[in-house]
Formats: sequence, structure tokens, C-alpha cells
Amino acid sequence: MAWLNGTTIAMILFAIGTTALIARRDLVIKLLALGLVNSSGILFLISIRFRPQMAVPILPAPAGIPIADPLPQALVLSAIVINFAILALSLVFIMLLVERYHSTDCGRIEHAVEAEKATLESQNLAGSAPESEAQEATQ
Amino acid sequence: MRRPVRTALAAILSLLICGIVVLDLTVLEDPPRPDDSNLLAVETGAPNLVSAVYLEARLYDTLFELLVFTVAVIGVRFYLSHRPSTARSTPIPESHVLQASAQILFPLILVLGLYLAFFGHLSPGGGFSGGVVAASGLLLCVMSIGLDTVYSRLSGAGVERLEWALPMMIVAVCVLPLAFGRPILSNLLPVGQAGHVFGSPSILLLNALIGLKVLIGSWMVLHAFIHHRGEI
Repeated sequence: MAWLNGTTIAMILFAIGTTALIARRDLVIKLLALGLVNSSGILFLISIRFRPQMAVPILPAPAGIPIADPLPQALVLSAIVINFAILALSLVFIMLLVERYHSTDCGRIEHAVEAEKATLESQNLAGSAPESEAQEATQ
Repeated sequence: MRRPVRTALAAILSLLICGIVVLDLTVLEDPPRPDDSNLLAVETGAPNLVSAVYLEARLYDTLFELLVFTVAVIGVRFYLSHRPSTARSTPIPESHVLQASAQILFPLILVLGLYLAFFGHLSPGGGFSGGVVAASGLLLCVMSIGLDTVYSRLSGAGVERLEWALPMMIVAVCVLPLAFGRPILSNLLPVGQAGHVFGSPSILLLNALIGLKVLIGSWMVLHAFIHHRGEI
């Protein structure tokens, strides 16, 4: 079971998250999958620099023990904050979409948007025709 | 395309991406590196090397990370501000246990958040985690005495103006070394003895500002969600 370390688990989580992100149509589940991908990235960054029996990167370290690399931990800190920002903002967008189209299914939302666009264009055509006639009449 | 076909294609694609990364990793080896951690601690005066990295060596990253956070907070407030409020006029009455314990716990949580923010360069913690801890204390307050009471008290203290001023102050701390003839994003204040609370004053200042910024930003997000989507 030596292959079952943090790196391979991160790969599996990434594959599951990307599959759900592409294949599922529910926006909330897409958002959860995005969170899973983000977590797998965090696990990956932490575990590629993990070596057993390393001291925490806070000085003074115990003598004779090498210190863990602080760089991936600092990167992960940014990733967590940005994950929070993405989650909050996309929840608001999903909320607005659901209030307008009453569905979290992105296929249905797309159909509704296209139907709206079609009615808007037909209205524009109907509205612009009398105007051009009026312009011709004035000329 | 039919659904099982789509799922299978997506799974194959993501596994392919994983495979490429695994192939890359087999080439990746652990390079021998000199032990320069003491150097970083002496240079910045911060024994916590993680905060020395993200507030000194890679301050540029942190600056733009804060920008992303600020934009997200502005976006949440902007897109929810046109929605009608669904909050109740009177909060749902909570149990006496919560009301009594919130009064005791809130100052403690606030002090813990401040400790995490102000001692981020000496011990585990930092501005981000400290700010989020303090914001969770505010959430506890909201649950016990209601959103409107907490909001009126905080906006009386000028929290909203502070939310705009804090990113400016953080950028100013990063840019001001230019005025003293030093490169941008370097130490604003002189480095003292490593391991002391004031050993790295610029990291302490940045941690305090970031903690306050994250506290107010998280509170704004919390307030927007509760105010426009109903009481918790």
C-alpha cells in the first residue's frame, strides 16, 4: 500500500472532481466539485514536499531534525483564501440564476436564456419596422 | 450527447490529465538544497518561516490574494444589494444556553483571533486565520442577539469606511519603502531581534491589517447572506 500516499489520493480526488465538473448539470454540484478539485490541489501541494519526520517550519527547530519546506504551506494559504472568495461569489451568482429561472440545471437555464433572447429579438424586429417606415415617410 | 457517454468521456479526460501529472512526477526528484531557513528568519526577524515567506519573500502573491478577496466581498455585496431583504423584523428566539454562553465566549474568541493575528510571525497563525476566527465570534453574536443589533453597533463604529481604507493601507505599507529609497515590497520598518514580538514590525503590521481586513470582509459577506436570504 505504499502507493496510497497523499499524492495519489489527491490525483483520485482531482479526477472525481473534474468528472463531476464536466458531467453533472446541477450548478450547486458543480460548485461542490470545484471545491473538491481545490482541496485536491491543496493536498497535492502539501504532500509532494512531505517527508516523514520533519520539524514544523518554526524556529528554533529541534537539533538534528530537518525543517519542512515552508513554501508549499504559504502557497496553500493563498489557495484556501481564494477558494473562499470563489465559493462566496459563485453562490451569489447561482442564487441570482435560481431566482430568475427557478432551476439549478445549467441545460434548462441555457434553454431559458436562449428563449428569452429569441423573444427579445422578435420584439426588436417588430419595434424597429414601424420606425423605419416612419423615417421613410418623413424623407 | 447521451448522459452515460458524456460521463465516461469526462472521466477518461480527467484520468488522462492525472496520468500526465503522474508521469511528470516520476521525473521530479527531491533536489538537494542548502539549509537557508536560518537566513530567512534572520533577514525578516520572523521565526515562523511560513509567514516570513508569504509576508516578505512572496508579498506580491499575498497582495493579489487580498485583491481577489476584496473583489469577492465587493461582488457579493453589489449583486445582493438590489435584492429585497428577507430578514425577519424580530430574530428567532434562541435558547438561553446560547444567549448566556455567547456573552462569555465572544470576548474570548475575539482575543484568540487577535492573538493569532498579532503573533502570526512567532507561532502558528496569521492574519487570515485570526480574522476568520474573530468573524466566527461575530456569527455567534448574531445568533444570540440578532443581525440588526450587531450591524447597527458595528456600522456605528465606522466599519464600512474601514473596509475601504484597509486595502489602501496595506498597499501603502507595501509601496512606502520607495519613499525611503528601498525597493518596493521590502521591509517598511527596521528588523529587530528574531523571536521578539517586535522583531519584525512590518510583518506584525501587515498581519494586523490583514486580520482586520479579513474580519471585516467576512462580516460583510455574512451580513449580506443573512440579510438577503433570511435569518439563521
